[in-house]
Amino acid sequence: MSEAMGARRFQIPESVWNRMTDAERWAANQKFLDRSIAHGDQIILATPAGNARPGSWFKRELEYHMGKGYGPSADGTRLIPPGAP
Amino acid sequence: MEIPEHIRQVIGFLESVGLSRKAMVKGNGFGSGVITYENGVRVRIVNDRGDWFIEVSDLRQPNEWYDLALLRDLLGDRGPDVLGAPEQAAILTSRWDAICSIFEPACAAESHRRLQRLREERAKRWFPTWYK
Repeated sequence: MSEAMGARRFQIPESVWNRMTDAERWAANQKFLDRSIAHGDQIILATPAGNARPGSWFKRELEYHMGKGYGPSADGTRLIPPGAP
Repeated sequence: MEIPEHIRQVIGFLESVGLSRKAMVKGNGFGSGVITYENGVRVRIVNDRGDWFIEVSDLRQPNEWYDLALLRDLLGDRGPDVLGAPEQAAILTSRWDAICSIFEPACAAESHRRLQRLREERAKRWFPTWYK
């Protein structure tokens, strides 16, 4: 979906991901998120926030964005950066 | 997608109760993928960036997937939201008949309503500044 929309997405090859510790995985993930936050990007959600799997990376990403002041769009399909209309 | 032993045991269980594999889809990167079984109810086993999740849906509402913590809560057994794959497998196998009964035609509509409500309550706990 992200390719079709021209959106950036976090992706690491399986062979690399499998060799990383959870801390390394989150560090890589967080670096990607911080870059997107610094750009003021909106985040397009493939899954509504409320449907996140407990304990998933996706839920952790949502919590991270919430901590950075992001909020869901009215229709719940995007996360909007703080201060955006 | 490498399948660990406890997930193989879940697959064996699903086949033993009459479900058959309908799809196996490999995701992009991270080794992610989904295996779906069905027969009356649908069960999918998801590898999401290395973490395993088991989810159940009603064939009449096949796009609504419920995790085992939600189903456990609906059945009246409380516990943590976050469950490791072995704990999810234990709930699925030990409460299989009850889980199937949730989606029987006579009570499916009410079950979906209650599961949605549980999901909304959980979302409010998880994201308190987003859902009030």
